[in-house]
Amino acid sequence: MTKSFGETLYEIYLSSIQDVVEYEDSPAGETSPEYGSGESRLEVIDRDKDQIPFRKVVGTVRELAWKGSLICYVIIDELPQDHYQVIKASPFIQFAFGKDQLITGHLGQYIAELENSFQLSASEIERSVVLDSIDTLSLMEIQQALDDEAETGKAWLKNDGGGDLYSWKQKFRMRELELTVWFRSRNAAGSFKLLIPQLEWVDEAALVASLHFAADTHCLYEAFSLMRQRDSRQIFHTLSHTLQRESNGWIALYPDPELCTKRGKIFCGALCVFDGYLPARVILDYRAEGLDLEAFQSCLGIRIELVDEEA
Amino acid sequence: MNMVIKHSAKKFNNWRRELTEEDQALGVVLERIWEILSEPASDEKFENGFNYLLLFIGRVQVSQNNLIRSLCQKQNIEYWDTLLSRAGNLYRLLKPQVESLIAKQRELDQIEFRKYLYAVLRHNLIRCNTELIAELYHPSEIRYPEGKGLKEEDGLATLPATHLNPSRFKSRTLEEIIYDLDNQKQARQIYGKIKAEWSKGRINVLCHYIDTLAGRKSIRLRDENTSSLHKHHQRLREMLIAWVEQGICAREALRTFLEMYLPKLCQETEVVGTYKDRKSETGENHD
Repeated sequence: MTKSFGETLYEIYLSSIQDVVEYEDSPAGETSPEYGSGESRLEVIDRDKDQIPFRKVVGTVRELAWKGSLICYVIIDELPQDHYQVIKASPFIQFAFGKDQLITGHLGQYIAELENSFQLSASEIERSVVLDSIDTLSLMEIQQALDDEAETGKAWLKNDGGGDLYSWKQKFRMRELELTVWFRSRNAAGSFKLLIPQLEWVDEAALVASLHFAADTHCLYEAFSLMRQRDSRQIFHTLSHTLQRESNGWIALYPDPELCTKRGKIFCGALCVFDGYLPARVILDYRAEGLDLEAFQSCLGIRIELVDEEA
Repeated sequence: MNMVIKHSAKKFNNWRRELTEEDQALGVVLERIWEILSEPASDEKFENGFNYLLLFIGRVQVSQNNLIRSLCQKQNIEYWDTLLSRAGNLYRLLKPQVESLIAKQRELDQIEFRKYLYAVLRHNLIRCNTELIAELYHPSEIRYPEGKGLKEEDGLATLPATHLNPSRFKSRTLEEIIYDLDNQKQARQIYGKIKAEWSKGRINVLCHYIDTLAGRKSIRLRDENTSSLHKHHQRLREMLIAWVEQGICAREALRTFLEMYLPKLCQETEVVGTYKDRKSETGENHD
């Protein structure tokens, strides 16, 4: 049975981000009838004049090989100390989500995933493969969207058009966020905001009412959660971290002090939302009055795992 | 220069059968493709290099090729046409990267450059495959553009240089937008409007902003401080984007103006150290 277009496109996307050299010496379909019996003329277009400016850095689309994956990004600004601000980009424009910006290059269009931004060093930029260069208006529109975000909050995070959590668009988005999690986490400091896409599906109404664990659960984690805790609307402890509502309404996650500065990953369900050296505190990009933090923890399944750096 | 080549699956298969195993090694394939991209080639050499491009397409991303084969079969479309069309599309996408690739070739040794070239080829091939697969999944929307794809006197069809169908599945390139005559006409109007209505200071802010976006150190507005310039850039950007939102100009016309006519406007505009115009100069307030 033929797969749906969404599934096929997602599979093509997955193969496109794998850093492998694939070349079949004698593929199965290489016998002559497989090419058919066609005979045609082809108009070959030479675009000698439309060269991508090779000295340009800001505005170029590049691909960085990173731990077996390929990360496509667009450089939007030069920062001090040989660093650049970049945004995750992808030629898979069919997966454009919410307020993703559609940008135009010499070779076609890309989506600039505005929520997925990070910094790269000059040497990381240098060892990336230059793929394209976007136009001035696209860069302007990205800057405008980022300015709007600074003023009004992350408007593009609203779940508009992405379908449910299991849609191909959402799968694509989660994979894109996972690809860059190390780069987004590595400069984590005091007010670092953790991007958790599942927060858009959190049912606030359900969480305001406190959840209770079933009495017949025996695992350590759940037993711990049954221990008497103070008002779980304000603070909730787990074995690896504490969730606390800040005075400004944001929810902060405090990793256990013994974990701080160690290399670790924070997961929400199956999705890794932090990969780096654990800071003393991170802010969850979420604010809801009256939310029960125990229910919040249970709903998102937040957990921290240490990473063996030598592995 | 554009050209039309006549090619058949039979001819390609004959060429391929004469290749030794070594001739088909990835390193050789990449070298031959690079030759037709980077140097002017005789017809014979071009045809040979183009065959290597066809070979490359058939042997990389094999699962995508198999899917294209099966979709072609279902829709009674000649697989050869899609292969040839993709090769034309790939060549078209690679040509604007030649100068950038030549610069990279100077930096890297042969092995590293081949890896680099492979990455560029693979990325663009996936783009070509994706666009084609999108079309084949939506057969009701497949149509040849006017005058293309129709069998001519000799019974052959001339395929479009891109792929089967310049449809909604095809992502538009910057050149397709800025070489559109309607966009150019409107872009010239924007150029005329700005030249007539804007002060020298404000045009300098725009030129300074464009230099900044391009990562160039601008010689304009040297007497202004960075934070004030940032605010001016912001205001100008908001205004231009609002032009599009308010229907004062079309988005693609503004894009065309910024790419084609703004460099000319900046060349024609005297460099000033501050955006503040002397009243005697223009007699207008630009903000």
